Amino acid sequence: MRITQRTIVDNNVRGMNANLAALAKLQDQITSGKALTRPSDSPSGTSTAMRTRGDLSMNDQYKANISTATTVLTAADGALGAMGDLVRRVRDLTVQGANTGGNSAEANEALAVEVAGIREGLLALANRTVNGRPVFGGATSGTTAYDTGGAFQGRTGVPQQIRVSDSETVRTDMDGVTAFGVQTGIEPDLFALVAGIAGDLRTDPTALSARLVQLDTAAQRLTQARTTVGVRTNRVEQVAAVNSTVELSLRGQLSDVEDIDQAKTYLELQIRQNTYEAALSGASRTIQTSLVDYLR
Amino acid sequence: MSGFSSLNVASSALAAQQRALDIAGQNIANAGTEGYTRQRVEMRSLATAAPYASYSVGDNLGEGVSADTVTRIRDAFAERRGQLEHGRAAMAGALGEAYTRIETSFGEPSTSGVQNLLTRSWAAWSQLSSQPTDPTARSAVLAATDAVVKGFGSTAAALDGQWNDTRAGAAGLVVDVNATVGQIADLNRSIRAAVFSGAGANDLMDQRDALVGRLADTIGATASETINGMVDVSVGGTAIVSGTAFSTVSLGGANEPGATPAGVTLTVAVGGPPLTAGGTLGGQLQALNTVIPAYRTSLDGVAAQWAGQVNTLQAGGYDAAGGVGVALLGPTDPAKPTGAGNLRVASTDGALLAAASQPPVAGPPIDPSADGGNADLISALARAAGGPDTVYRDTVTKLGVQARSALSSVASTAAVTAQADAARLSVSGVSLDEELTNMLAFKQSYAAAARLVTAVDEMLDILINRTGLVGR
Repeated sequence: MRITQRTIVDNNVRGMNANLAALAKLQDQITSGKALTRPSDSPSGTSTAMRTRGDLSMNDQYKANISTATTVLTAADGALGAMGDLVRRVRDLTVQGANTGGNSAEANEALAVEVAGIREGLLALANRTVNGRPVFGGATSGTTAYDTGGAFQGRTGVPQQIRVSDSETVRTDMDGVTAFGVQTGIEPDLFALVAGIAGDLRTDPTALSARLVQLDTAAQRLTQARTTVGVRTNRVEQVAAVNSTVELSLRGQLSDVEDIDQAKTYLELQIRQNTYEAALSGASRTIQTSLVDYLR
Repeated sequence: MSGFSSLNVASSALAAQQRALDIAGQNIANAGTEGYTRQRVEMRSLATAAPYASYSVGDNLGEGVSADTVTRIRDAFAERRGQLEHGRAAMAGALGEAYTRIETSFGEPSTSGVQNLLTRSWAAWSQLSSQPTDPTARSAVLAATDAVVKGFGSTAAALDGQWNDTRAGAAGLVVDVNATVGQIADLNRSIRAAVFSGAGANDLMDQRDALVGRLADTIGATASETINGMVDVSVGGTAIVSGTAFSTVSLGGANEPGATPAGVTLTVAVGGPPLTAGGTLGGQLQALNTVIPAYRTSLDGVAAQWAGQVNTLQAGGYDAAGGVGVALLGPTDPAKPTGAGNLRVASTDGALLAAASQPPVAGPPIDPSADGGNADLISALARAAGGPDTVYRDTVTKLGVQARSALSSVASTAAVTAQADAARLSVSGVSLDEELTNMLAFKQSYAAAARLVTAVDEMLDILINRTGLVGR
């Protein structure tokens, strides 16, 4: 093949351009820290990066959901605990009132007033809200679980599930019926029972022994409800720990796909730089010489 | 043979070497000129005027040298290969450019692409499912949904913009091609005239071949030499320049994206037979007719699927007031099918989002269910096997694969073109060393011819001035 000056110039220009383009690309990767900026850089990597980014965002959302679930469950747990204490106090007062031999009517009236007061306290706790939503209201859109008369306003039978991971939801609702019993013909719910005790203290202290049995059932129901809430809280805490682990591993995955390998990229940059300089010095030598230098 | 004939020989030699030096000068002067073909003086020895015959008395010594023909040194095969490879490289380049721009329009992977907007909308739905009675969670869903609609809209607009720009670019190239074919036909005419009259047409031919080279780049044209130094130029087997006649090309068909009937056509003259173009124009036509519409359709499909699936699930749930969910997304223009560019958030009231999966308790008063079950179902579309995210990701992955192969064919055709050019230039390019060496040879020949004149002169001097002096 006949090589002319033009061929050499063209080759040199092409080589320098190619080296410069590669240098620019590496420079771009180092300044941005990303090896993957377009789908064509790595089609399968792009798919992974998009999915991982999506998973990361959803994982963040699950973290927020976990926090919501924890708030609701903690509120329910606190209310149930406080109510348990109040029910125990009611039991003490009932036992005191049932002791018919030593109590004057005035003393029983005082007990009745206290029990009635406790009932108000119980109702207030049963109406505890989180973000304006009654904790014991079930799936109601209203703002209270019980009205002032102690009638249940909420909605049962529709579980409130909060999603805490791709594969898992945690139930956060504890409706009043489950926790405090339901008002039927013979069996009163917690609030009707406490109201009944207050009434019996005034009118018929002998009936209080039977009330004690009912109160024990109600207390048991409260404990059961609290246990259920506790189990759910535990589960949420476990999921929260998993959530953090998943986040770390997803971030690692994303970085593997998208980010540059610093050491490798710097090394490549150095190699390219050397090649570029070699091309430049080669060009300066081959282009300069011609027969003119040797003719007189 | 007369004594003066040697002088004639010497003078023809002087003239020939002079001519050869002139041409070497021309070559050196144009060593860097694009499209210049090196020239060479064809030297030919001159025979005696008298033909050889039975009783001829001539000595047939020859009468010097003739240097009246100057030829361009080129390899027709290499030239044609150069045109083909240039056409291919330009076509690959145009396609590569189209793919790169589509990639930019999609803008993945990033925090601003449609994928991320979709994910944010799913997260907003999940937030709503955890707090169905919270009005801020409802407005967050609406805002996130609106962002997705805008994301689809801007990607679609970017693709449409690219289509329009490419169409305008192709129209510009067609104007350029039509001007060029006219010039080539004109030059063919001038070359024919020059060849008839015996004048040199080399520089005209260089000019014309440069124009043919430009057509190879723009439309994938190839040229073949015919008689009298003229060339015929054809595109995809159809002649567009034939000697001194030429036909123009015309761009027709759709002039906006999504027009019916779809498809941009390239024909010989207006409404003539279709032309299979290569080069930049061929690449642009392929981008206009296949590449861009394919991605626009895929994007429309994802958008319609997203809207359809969200609306279906909406209809299966109950809103904040307990009513059956209404469609959240709808087309901007109801006459056209829902797509990436034809989409809007149809309901602007957060209370109308069907977050609940259970019907309300009949009233009065009506108590709407506050479970977030349906919102959770909608957010689960993010993970659904046939969900919009999956389909969108598939589209982007396909784009990545195709763009990658388009870009690698840009690189490979560029390398082949460089090789073809080198092969072409190895024949037609000017080598300064070679010219300098030739110059030395011509200079020496010139000096020798001059010496011949002196020798003949001295010879004649002896004859004229020194003879007839015997005995003086």
